[in-house]
Amino acid sequence: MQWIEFRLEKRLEPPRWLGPSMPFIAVSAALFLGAVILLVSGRNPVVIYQRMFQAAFTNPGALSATLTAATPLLLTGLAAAVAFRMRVWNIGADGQLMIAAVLAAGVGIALGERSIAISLPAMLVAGVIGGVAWALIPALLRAYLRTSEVLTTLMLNYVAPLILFYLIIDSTSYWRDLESPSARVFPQGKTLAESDFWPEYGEGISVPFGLVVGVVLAVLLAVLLRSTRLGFQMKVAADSEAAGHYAGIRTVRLLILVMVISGALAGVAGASQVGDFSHRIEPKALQFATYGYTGIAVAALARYNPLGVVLSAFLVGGMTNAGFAIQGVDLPLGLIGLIQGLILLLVAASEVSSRYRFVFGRRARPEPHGTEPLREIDEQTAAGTGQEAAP
Amino acid sequence: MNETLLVTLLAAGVLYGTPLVLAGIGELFAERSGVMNLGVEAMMLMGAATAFWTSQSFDGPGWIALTVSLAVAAATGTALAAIYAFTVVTLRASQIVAGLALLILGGATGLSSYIASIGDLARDTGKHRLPDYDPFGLADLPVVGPLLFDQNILVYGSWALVVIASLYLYRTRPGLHLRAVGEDPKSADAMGVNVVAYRYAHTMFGGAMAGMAGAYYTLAIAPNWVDNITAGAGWIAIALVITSFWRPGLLLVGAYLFGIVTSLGFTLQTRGVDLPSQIFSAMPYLLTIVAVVLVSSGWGRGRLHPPGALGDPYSREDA
Amino acid sequence: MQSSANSHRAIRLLLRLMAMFAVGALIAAGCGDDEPADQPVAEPAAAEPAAEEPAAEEPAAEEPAAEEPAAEEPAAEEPAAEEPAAEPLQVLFLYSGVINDGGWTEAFDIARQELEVAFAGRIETTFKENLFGAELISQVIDQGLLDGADVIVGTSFGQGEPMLAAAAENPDVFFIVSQWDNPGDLDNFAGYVNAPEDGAYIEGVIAGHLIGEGETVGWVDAFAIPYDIRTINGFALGLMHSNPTARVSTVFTNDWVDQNLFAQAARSLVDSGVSFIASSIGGATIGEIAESSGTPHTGVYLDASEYAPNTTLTTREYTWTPMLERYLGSIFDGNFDTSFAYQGMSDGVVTMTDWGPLFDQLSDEAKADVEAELARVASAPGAVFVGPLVDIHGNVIAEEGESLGVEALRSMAWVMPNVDGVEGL
Repeated sequence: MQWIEFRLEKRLEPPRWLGPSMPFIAVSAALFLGAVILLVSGRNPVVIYQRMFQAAFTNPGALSATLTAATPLLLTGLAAAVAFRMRVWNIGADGQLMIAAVLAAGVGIALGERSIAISLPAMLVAGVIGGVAWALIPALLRAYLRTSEVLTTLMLNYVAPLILFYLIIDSTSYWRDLESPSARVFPQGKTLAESDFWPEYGEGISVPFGLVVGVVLAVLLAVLLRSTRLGFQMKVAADSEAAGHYAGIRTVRLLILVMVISGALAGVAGASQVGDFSHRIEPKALQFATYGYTGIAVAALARYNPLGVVLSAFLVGGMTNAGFAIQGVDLPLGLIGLIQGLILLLVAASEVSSRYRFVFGRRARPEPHGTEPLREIDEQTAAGTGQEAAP
Repeated sequence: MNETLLVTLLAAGVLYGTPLVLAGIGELFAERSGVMNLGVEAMMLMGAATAFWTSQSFDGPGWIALTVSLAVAAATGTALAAIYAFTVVTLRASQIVAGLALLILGGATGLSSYIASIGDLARDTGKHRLPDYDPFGLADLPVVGPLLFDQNILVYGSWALVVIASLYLYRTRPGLHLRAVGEDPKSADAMGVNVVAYRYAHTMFGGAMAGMAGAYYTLAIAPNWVDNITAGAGWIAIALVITSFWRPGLLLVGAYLFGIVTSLGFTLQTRGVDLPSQIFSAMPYLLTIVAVVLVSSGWGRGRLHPPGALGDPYSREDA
Repeated sequence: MQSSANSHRAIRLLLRLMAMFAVGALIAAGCGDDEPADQPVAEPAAAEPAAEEPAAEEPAAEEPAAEEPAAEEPAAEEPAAEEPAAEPLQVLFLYSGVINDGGWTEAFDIARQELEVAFAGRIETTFKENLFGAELISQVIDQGLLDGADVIVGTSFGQGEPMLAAAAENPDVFFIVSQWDNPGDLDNFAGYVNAPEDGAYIEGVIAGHLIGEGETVGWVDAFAIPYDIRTINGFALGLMHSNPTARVSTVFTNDWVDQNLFAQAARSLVDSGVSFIASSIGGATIGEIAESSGTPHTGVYLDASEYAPNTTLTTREYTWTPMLERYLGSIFDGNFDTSFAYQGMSDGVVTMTDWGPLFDQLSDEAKADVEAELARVASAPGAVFVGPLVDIHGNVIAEEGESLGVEALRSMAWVMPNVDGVEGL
């Protein structure tokens, strides 16, 4: 096999200019490729990019819309980050969010017109309980029956919306509005009393309460992971189960704890959906939104760092928001998805390039030595930051 | 009555399980090499769209049109998988981000939908459809006849694929190497196995199978196009790979069972079983969980585990 | 620790990314400024409204998003010619599904395209698809208003609440939305729904004539919401008219999009021995199952004979064009009607396609009966649900000759006695 190959070698000392310029090159490349696609399809990329940017950041209300879109992504992103960096593959934030929304809405409705000082914390707690409960099923199955949590969380994501459909559409449950004229025409959840709506902050730009909670939680998580005994244990156990055992860490308990934290964060997302935005259970909206899955991408973009999740949620939120703003007759949905996917793909791909350099040239087939320590898995990527999926 | 019910359920299992088998075996190969591909759904949709477009714009005889369409679907899936492999194997990007990015790029609201809109696929009914084919003239046999001898080429192909996949994995040298690459790439490399080549080849093969699985929707089940025609089957295929503990035979059983249970839910509804329909809709998912719990805590305990290096990028530092 | 080094890198990366997005887009914005924006309304409209209009009803002045004045003209006496005629009315459609869904949304998008032709030069249309969730929809509406929308057409129930809120804030933009009532104090908000029962009833009459006594019709549906219950009841009423002992057996998929799930449901019905298939779900797969199993069936939304030429008897098509034409016409004429529009076959909003080949198997009396019922339903609105009506539990819904009002129709939760599998309330 004598073909021209190129391969990646780790840079011992990455040149200074390369670090900052790599992501610039990546996004430029994505935007350039996108522009070529737009041009080929007969559209003006300048106008479209301009509109995307305006819709995400500068139009009146655009920043608020971006923050709104970022809120659930921040919370589900944190849920994914805390689990994935422990190499616990909780794909189930979607379902956990929905069950949390049910409990939060239930508590909110029950509290009626109490003061927000009571109802808000109560809804938050209810959401956390719901998220944790739905996450405990796969956690316990994994801990005690060794069942892959990838599978169980994924399957439970399909079950959760069915529960919502049952509660709102096919039964006369506590959550269903049987009174108001519009709900008699189309099944709808009961709406919270206006006094239970979560507050928004800011003049001009409205910051949802859930976003504030998310940022606070991100900081807390960062502290927890960096400076506490638990965080240390998680790091050790994530690096290697054997090492964890050696250090006397009870991995089963740790695993359940991580799933509980992850589920709780997804639960906050669910409570925020009800408290901040919909003020009732909207089964179809929650099912179609797929916040849980997008949250995984958000977390992975930030390499599962809680503070990074804040930024990546903002970016992805802006991108989502811009996508809806520009679609229409001239710009089919599919083309927007194509460009969004390209950006995400190239950003993911570029991250690696500052640590490696491309080497072109012929390379002889390696000698099959078995003894030399040449073949080490790259420490940086395998250092147990748990960045990849492995059920 | 019960016998016909059994036959109809099995037939439904084959009909709706076949794309899951095709895509699932493809994903199984990729994962056996250590690459998890969350973009299966996108590859299926792209295969479905390109296959349908090809068959619609082809005026020649049906069998040529269908052959070409299947080839195009496989090529599309392979091409997407090559991009994916380049990103995660060569560039060592996060498999999760890259997989989800691919899903956005090519999925229901991505390129597949755009291709459909420029090809104007949604407005037309299919010109060609994969015919059922009875090689031995045995389709009239009771029970097994229609199940085993009256299927289209993709169904027969999926059966052959399962057999070949099992033989390949457990009875051939490349299969052994593949397992080594997925289990412990360092040792495999030390044995002289080209880890990168294996990962590329099997990920791309997985893409080809996902493309064909997509083509099954637009050429076999109902030749037409709606956006998101696979409706999440790619995720079910990924789940089935886990459910089957990375074994081709079990994957086939799992895929058929999934189709059968879904169908059974509807059958129970039509027979007036008085339960909320959501319970029937949830059955395939809940039973999948139960099955995996039983296997992983019973017979499979300690015996079945995912490929050791699944999801980990590999690089040999030979500087 | 490596992981924390990674984290720092990730944060730096993301910060840089954000900076770059900003820089890149500012460059794009800079480049874009010198060419005329592709949406003609934004700029000129901003300059115009105060000067052009008789000023009395311009509460939009405080609104940063200046509205397009051409349409808005409650002063009916003013001749339309005085307006800047070059500015077409901007019509924005909101879709909950995608335009290629083979069903509900596609039917609306066909109407949108027909309207462009019918009002050539006078309107411009665009759409947003795949919308879900009140919060997102209200953002999309805001963006649409910013882009100069004069009329916003909502096509699904979930859009109603954000549209109501937007209607109150934007009195010179017209809002037309599926299933919602005008709260009474808005001059720019109207709700509508079609009468699927008009078509389903005819399907039921045909099915009853075609199948034997005591046989069963299979019905595939997504969710048992009042709109769908009304459709099923309409079908069952038609079936009862022509075949009192036949029954309807329903299956619910709990899903709006999965074509293969619909096919599996239809197949289960066929395998359980139904003699006829009907549905409230669009797309080709149900027709495919009917065709390949030789089961007579009726389609919905878009002509099913395309993919099931032999077994399709007819399709109840949802043809929104005439209704929307009336709405747009009334906007142009300055007499926008805000009362709820409940429109069916007599309004041309539900239509039946030509009878398929199986129709010839009916006896001459049966054919005559179908035509007579068709003529009756098409002659006046509300002709289907006329008493005596009794539900499955024996409750009297309507006395002899009494017809159900629009409110009772829209919130229908009772079930016909010959329907199995629907709970109702």
